[in-house]
Amino acid sequence: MELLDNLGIDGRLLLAQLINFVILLAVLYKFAYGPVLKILEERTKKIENGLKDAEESHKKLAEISEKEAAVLVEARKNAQQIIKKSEETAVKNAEEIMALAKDQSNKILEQAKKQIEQEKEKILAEVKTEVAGLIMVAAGKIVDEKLDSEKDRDLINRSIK
Amino acid sequence: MRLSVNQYAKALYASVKDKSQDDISLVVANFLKLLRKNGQMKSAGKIIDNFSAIWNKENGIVEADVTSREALDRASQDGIKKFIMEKYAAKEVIISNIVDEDIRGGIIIRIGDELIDASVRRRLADLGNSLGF
Repeated sequence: MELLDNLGIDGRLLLAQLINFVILLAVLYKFAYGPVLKILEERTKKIENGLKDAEESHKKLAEISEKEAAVLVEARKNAQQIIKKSEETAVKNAEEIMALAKDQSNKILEQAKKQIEQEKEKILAEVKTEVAGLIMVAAGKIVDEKLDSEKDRDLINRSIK
Repeated sequence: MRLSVNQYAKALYASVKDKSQDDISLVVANFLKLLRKNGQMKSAGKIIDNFSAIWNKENGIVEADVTSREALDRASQDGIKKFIMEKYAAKEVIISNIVDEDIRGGIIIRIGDELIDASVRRRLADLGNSLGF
């Protein structure tokens, strides 16, 4: 105690201050430290939960990405099949159309040839008839002009020999 | 029994074929009476035609219708008769000359159902046919 007095420290005051300090400590522990710890624990829990959720989310995201990739692969495969089929159908259709067009053009050509031939024959027949008519008229005129009585007699005599 | 035209003609020919001219007149007169009696005077023309055909055939006589552009002269007619005699082995040929300018020349000989067409008209028609006219 003497030492404390020598140092200028009042023992009683110190004691009182100690008591005050303890009381403050108890009060602080009761009303501040506990809730802060609780808050900290809650925060830690929340952060842990958040991290866990984030990890799960990441995992799910990865799964989704994988599924997405699989779907994409399938879709691409399907698309390729559709394209291939479409190409085949298009080629087949084109071939059919070409064959049909060729067939039709051949028919038209054949018909045109036939028509030309018929026209030709018709014109030839007309010309032939026309020429034959002219020959007949000319022959009739020649006979009428040249066949006199004497020649007619000769003709009759030749007929009965 | 009703006789046909051909039967009458044959009967008439059988009755007159070896008879003299006087007898023939008598036979014909009796024949006409028979026709009248049988009510077949309407067929007399046809019976005479048939009789002529039988008579001509039996006696080698050929009747020919000869068509020409102009009337045939004697020489031509003789030539035609000779031709027909040889062709049909006839003893006699009787020609009826028909003038038809439309035949344009040559002759057409018709003997019964047979036709010999040597006309210019036919030759022109042949020419037309060969030309496809």
